[in-house]
Amino acid sequence: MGTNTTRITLTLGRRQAMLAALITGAAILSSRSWLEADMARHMLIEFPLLLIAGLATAKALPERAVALIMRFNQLGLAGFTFVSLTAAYWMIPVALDQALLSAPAAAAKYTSFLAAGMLLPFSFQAAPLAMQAFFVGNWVWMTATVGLLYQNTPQQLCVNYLFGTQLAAGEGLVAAAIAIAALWCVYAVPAYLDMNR
Amino acid sequence: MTGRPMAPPASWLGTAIASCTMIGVAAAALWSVTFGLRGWTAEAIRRLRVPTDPPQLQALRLDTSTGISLVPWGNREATPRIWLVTFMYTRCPTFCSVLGIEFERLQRQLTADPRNAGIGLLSISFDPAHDDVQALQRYATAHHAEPGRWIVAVPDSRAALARIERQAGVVVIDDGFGGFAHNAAIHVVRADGRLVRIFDLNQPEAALAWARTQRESR
Repeated sequence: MGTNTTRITLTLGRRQAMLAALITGAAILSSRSWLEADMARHMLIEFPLLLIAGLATAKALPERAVALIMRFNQLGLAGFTFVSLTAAYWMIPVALDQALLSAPAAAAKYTSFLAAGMLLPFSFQAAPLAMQAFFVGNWVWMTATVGLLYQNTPQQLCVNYLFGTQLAAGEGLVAAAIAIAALWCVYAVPAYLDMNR
Repeated sequence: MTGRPMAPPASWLGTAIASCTMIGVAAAALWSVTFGLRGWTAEAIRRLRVPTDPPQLQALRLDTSTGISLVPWGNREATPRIWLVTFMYTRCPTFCSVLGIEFERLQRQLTADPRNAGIGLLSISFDPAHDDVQALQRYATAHHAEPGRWIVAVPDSRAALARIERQAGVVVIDDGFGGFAHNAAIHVVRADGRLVRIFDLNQPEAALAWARTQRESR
């Protein structure tokens, strides 16, 4: 009976997750021009929303797909690699401009962030604490450094974004780096220790 | 069978192949988007790309401050000139007025030195909503533009404006105060419509010197 209950909740969870992914996706698409009109909104609202949509997709995946992903994701390495590369690539000013000027680049941006969000929980599940620390730590210093660079560069970095929104994006990236470092320490570490007691 | 799914078998080989493929794809994308790691901003890359891969600008019909219609390059009507082109809008309080002053100075040099014959200055407005012939005329008068040397003009249609912006890689955005921000530069355009060099606003002399070599090599 316990098994049945678990299975029912899982099924419901999957549907709800799919719904959440669709709603987030629709929200991003419908407010796309507003989100992307400002560098800070683009990087600090749209990117995380895409990750969340991807995360919800992960919860909606059938077990077979999860098993397939995990086959290529020993200790979470491949997933973390993908997330790191995605995060790094879209912080390059010319890449961000391309995402606004070319449809294929925009499609690549949406797809890569959705996939990154989808891979994230599977990697955290599979990764030992040291692996998590390595990737989270790397992302944190990289993001904080880019944030500081955005703030300290005297020229406008993106042809599509005003200098002022570049400063705001820079401040936001530093704040996000600090927040993620803190969240990982407060939530991910105890959760990991709990699970592996 | 239990409620908990079994831990799926993971493979190091598969993981290594997947990770290395991702790194390879990302490296290729990075190489391509940064023009071989030579630039990190779209504007830097636009300027770097032009000498090796000069964009072809289509023939463009302009309405000038003197009320005439002109095709500066790209068809038989085109004046055989090397153009130093900037994009601007006449209400612009910052860059464009600095640029106006620079062009005014360049115009004096053009007139003073006979080697500069065949080099023309061209200011193209990207604000057709405000920049009609009268507005262009006010700008030209304020900067003492001589019609034979320095043409102040606006494309004859929105479509033509969008096309020249796209072909030259000029991006104009709202500055939030009713004006515009744009990647301002001095573009060297040959009579055949090739955009051959892009110089910074503070390098008008370099742009002029380079245009002169182009004229001599013809």
